[in-house]
Amino acid sequence: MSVLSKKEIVRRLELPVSDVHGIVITPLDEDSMDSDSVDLRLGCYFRIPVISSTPYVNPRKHTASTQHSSLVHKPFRSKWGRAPFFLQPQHSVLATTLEYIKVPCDVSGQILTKSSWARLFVTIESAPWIHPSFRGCLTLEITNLGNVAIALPAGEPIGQLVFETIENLEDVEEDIISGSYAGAVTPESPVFAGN
Amino acid sequence: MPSESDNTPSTDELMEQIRREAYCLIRLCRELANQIKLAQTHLTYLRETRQFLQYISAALRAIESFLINTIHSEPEPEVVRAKLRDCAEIKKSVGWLYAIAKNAIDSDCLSIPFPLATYLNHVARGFVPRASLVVLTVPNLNFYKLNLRDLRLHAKSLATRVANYPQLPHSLGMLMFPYCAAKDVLVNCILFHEMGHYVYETTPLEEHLKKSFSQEWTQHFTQGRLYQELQTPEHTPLFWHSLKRHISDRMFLWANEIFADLYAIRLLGAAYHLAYVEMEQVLPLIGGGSRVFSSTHPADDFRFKLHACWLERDGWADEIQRRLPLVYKKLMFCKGLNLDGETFKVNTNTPFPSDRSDLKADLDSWMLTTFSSLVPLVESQVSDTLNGSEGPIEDFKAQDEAVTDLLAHGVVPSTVFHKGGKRSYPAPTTVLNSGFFFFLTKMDKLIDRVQSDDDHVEKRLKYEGRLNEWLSKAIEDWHILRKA
Repeated sequence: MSVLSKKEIVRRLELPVSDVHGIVITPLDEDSMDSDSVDLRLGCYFRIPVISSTPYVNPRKHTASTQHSSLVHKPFRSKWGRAPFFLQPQHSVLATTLEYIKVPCDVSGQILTKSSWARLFVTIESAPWIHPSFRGCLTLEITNLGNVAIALPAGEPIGQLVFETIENLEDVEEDIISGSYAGAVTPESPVFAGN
Repeated sequence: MPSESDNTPSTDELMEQIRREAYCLIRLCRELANQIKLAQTHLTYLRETRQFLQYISAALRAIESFLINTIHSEPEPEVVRAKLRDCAEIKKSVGWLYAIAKNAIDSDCLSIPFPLATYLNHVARGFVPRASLVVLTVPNLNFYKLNLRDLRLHAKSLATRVANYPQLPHSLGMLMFPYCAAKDVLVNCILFHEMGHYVYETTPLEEHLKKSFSQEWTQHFTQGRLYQELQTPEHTPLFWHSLKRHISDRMFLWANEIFADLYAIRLLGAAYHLAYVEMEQVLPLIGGGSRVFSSTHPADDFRFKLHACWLERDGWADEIQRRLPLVYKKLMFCKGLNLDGETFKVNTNTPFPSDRSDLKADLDSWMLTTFSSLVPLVESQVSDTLNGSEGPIEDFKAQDEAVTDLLAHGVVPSTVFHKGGKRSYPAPTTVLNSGFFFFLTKMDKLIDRVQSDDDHVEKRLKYEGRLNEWLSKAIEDWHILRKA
């Protein structure tokens, strides 16, 4: 496994979308690229847990899907006029990246918390691995482990995306869309097998 | 037997009645203000909707202060009846605020096509300074622009009695859409037409139409057979006034619709026509068919005739022909229709005496011919209004292939990467047009790429939803990139 460099990421960004080795990141901030990663910004949609009359959540039953969370929209505003989402201490929220990503067929991705946020006791991922050929806005599971509420303004760089090539991969010729969350642009309720 | 004068309430009784009404109204105003506050605590709104909710809150505050003063006051007997009239006016106002506040409260960012509404406001500001378009949900399966003329007049008159009663902002427009269609960005292309109605009010078109209509009336109607037939003593000046009014009202309403249609086509292109056709799939047939002019709307086939001309003029007809031959065929068929009493009918209640209903066909025919002579005025007003603004076709031609390719691969079409590091960002109009063509002709290409256990219908419905999300996201991204 090796990490894709900025040069390689840029090369793959310029490939046509039909090329299974191509990368898509949109909207791409010019200054977001590091030598080995791409900064990703916080999107405008949040999914918050709600107090529900459902006695418990059973992932194997339909109750798991939509009844215990609701969607919130915080529109992107200009840099100095944002209306942030406030995350209370010891609370979690689902969010998405502002960027819509398409991962190449021969590459996996990993999203990491930007270190400045980590120093505020905020983590953004508990399932950071992104499979080859995935496309969509990445879902972030943001948790505030600190003891004060924290403002999460849409558009703020919050994560770093690292691409890693997969070795000894079988040849992939066709671009296949698969997975329950493929193509999502908002944080979606969970889909468990069998539901 | 008590005399009539015994029944006349005394000043004290009237004041008691006014106070009772005032308490009821204050309770209602407070409850409404609380609902607005509560909604704003939990929900996020389009800036224009938030401003409108603030307007309602300000109006409620002004009314409440007025009513509290009324309760405290001990007016002279001669003023009491005026107070009663004030209360009646206030009730009207509260009734309107009560109804519209519900629409506004229900229209948070997630309940409306938010990126499209933001874009419509951006576009409208190019025509109307500080334009403020509030996009609201309605329970009907219909799109319309709320007519604010009477409400403006009402607010103006109320402001003379109620201190600090706010005026409806001059640049405010209210576009209504069906509450279940928030996620359907494609059908919401009809909102461009509703924006056309909003812009229509800022043009001098109605004045021009009035002048031309009066000429037609004097030169043609009063010289015709119909006029001679109706020249009988029982047809009083009042009859002639109401007949002329009836006809001119129809003409101006039809002209308004045509203006909004052509405005939408010039500004958005083929997607407006396609959205119109799409919406028709779910609407029950109104007014008796596609060749019938109703009292408010021209016949669909006549509208399509004009759509065809303008789509051709703006370079969209070829694009439609290549992708959607059936839609093109229908457009070209309608283009060949003549606006006359043989081809089209008018379904309105004419103010004729019941014994002269035989003249209705003649009148309908005259109305259609006259309207036909007014259409060029509407067309030239649309051209004048949009003079200088870029048509959407150039960007569409440059970006359509790339946008279609992105959609076919399940990617939000907000950035097109070119070799050499160059990037381009398709305009929202291109996103909507390419998206619509994709939806109607290439969904299978996308679905073939999807690996899933769902059956075809489920897959298609899921990815129709996804397509709308991608298009919506692409428009949202366009705003972000523009701000950057």
